[in-house]
Parts: sequence; C-alpha cells; structure tokens
Amino acid sequence: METVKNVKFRIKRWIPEEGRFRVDTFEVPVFKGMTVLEGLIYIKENLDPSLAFRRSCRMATCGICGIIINGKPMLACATQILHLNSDVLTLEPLKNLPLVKDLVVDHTPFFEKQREIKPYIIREGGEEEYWNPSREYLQTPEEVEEYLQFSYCLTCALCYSACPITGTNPNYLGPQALMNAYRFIADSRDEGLLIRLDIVDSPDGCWGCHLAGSCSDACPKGVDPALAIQLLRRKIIERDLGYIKAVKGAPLAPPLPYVEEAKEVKPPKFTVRGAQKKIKEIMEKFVEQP
Amino acid sequence: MKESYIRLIQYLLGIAIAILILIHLAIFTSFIGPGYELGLSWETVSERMSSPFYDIIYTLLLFALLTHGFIGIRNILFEYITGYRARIAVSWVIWTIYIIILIYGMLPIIAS
Repeated sequence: METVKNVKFRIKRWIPEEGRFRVDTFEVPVFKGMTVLEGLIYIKENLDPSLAFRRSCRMATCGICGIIINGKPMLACATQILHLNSDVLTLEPLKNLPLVKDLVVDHTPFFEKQREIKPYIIREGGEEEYWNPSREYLQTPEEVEEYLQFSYCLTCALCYSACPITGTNPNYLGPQALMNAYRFIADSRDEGLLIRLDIVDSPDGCWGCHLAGSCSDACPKGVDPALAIQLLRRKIIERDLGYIKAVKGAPLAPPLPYVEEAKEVKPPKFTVRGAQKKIKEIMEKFVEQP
Repeated sequence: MKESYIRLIQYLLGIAIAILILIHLAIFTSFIGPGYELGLSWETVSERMSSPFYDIIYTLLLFALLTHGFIGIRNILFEYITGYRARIAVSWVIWTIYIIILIYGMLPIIAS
C-alpha cells in the first residue's frame, strides 16, 4: 500500500499501576482506506507492543473497538483516518466506564444495566415454549418495522460513553439499556410491557434523560436511542392514563405437517439399514412439501 | 408515588401555569385591568384581592408555580444525589419547605 501521509496518534493511555493517564505520541504512515484500528495495530506491531486496545471483527459488527477519536466516541475499525481530515488524532478510552489499561475499558456496568431491563422476549405462561421452542411466532413486516432499527444495536457502548447523564449519575440506566427496553416493548412477540415499564419508570430510568441527543449522534449503526427514550415515556404516560394494559403477544405459527409427522417417527431399533430407510422416507416427505 | 405520576403532574401544571400566567399578565395590563402602573397600586391590589375570583386564580397560580418549581428542584437534586435513602431524605426536606412556603404564600389570600 502506498503511504499517503504520516499522521500523529496522540494516545491518552491509562496507566493502572500509577492511577493516572499518560499521553504518548506515535507517527503512523497512512495509506488510502486505512482505519484507526489498523493504525493502532501498526503501532502495536512496530512501535510499542505494550499498547493495549480491544478489537475483534474489524468490520463494525462486534462493537468492541469503541474509543474516543478527536473527542467523539467512534468505532476504530469503522473510521478511516483520511476521512477525519486531521494530521493529529487524539485517541482516548471510552468515558463513563471503569478503566482497565491504555484504551481498554471494563464494559461490566454497561452490560449489567442492559440485563436489568430483561433483554429477551417475555411470554406470560409460556415457559415450556420459551425453553423448548417448537415453532416461530407470527409477525407481519409492519410489526417488524416497529422495532427493526433498534435491533441493529451492537452494544458497543458508544452511546453510553457519549451520554452526559451517565457521566453524572452512575445509577442511570443509560441510552442503550433504555433503547433496548423499548426494542422489546415494541416487539409484537413480547408480553413484558408492564414489567419493563415498571423498571424504566424511575428518575434513573427514562425520566433521567435530558434529551441531549448525543447517544443518537454517536451510534455507528444509526440507531436513535433518544427517540426510543421518548417513546418509552409516551408508553408510560399512556399506561398511567389507562390507554394501554397488558399486551397479548403474537401467536405461534401453525404446526407444519411434515414436522409433526417427523416427530411421530420412532427411531429404528439397532439397524443402520432401517434407520437409513426411515430417514429416506422423511426426506421424501420433506421434499414433497410445497 | 410512581415517578411517572410526578412527571405527569409536572407536565399538566406546566400547561396550567401557561394559562394562569396569561390571566395574571392580562390583569395587570390594559387587556382587562387598568394598566400596568395603576394595576400595581395599593388600592387596586387590595380591591382585587377581596374578589373571590382573583383569590381562586392566585391560589391556583401559587399552587401550580410552587409545585412545578419544587418538582423541578427535586429532579435536579436527584441527579446528584443517587442513594435511595438520601433521596428519601431530600424529598422530605423539599416537601417540608414546599408546605411552609405554600402556607406563607396563602396568608395574604386568606387575610383578604
């Protein structure tokens, strides 16, 4: 790759042994299309092997390489250095999360808050179906649209880092957890509306939001947590005014005939040939289905 | 009380204040009242306070403004005071001060 220019990486590194930050500057030769993560990998391989940072997928899917680049939370793997139009990049670890080393932060509080809002489909009295799912739930494309954009969340914690309320109130659930609460409330398969509304209805829940909107601005996937928080508030007020009560989740899809027949087939006893014959029968029935 | 009830009261009082403030301003200005300077004279105020209509308006305005304001102060303090017990203590202090000021503010209305 042809080097376009040299860019200085000013890295604000957390030194856990000393309990303070140290700023190190590295000069990185940049080629066209090079990402900040590739710059960090270059530094680790060529200039300072002790530099600590997180990475995994390198394609904005896992969300683990979130850092603050020139004052804004971004994914290092999804940010091209030349797009930043700067000869000096200032890199810092994410804010509002405990520091571990250099650019690495501990995501535990973030995931604990996400767990608080029960980020899974809740079905009343559907324990058996929940643990041993037999069929899918029926959902129209319009119903999917209701929560689709919120399901793009990577749990990268960029919104959590950008949120000014999370910085001042450590108990605040944060934009990701609140957005995720709305994501499941808006899901027609879910029946946990009232349970989740009770969880987020607190000064540390959706009422703590100041509408700064920095969470939506920071999201690398275009999810709008600020909107979700406002929609949560609307749901809560509608509940208080008696407009909404417990919801009935989407029904299960009708059983498919060949699946039911396949369940009825008992495994043959001790003969491989018999088993092959039964499997062939099932496969033939399967192929015959429209 | 649920947090959402408090916020709902806050919203509704905000709307009520907007209406009551307009009435309040209209009383002082020449829309309804005698104009700004004359409207603030001792005689005019005294006469106005003897009217049950204005008594009700000012009682409502006092109640709405105080409640709205104190809920707002509570919300701000709750962002800095995050402990459960500390928040209960803060609530007691706030609502005690609220009641004292409400009674104090009601005195001229009751006296008239």
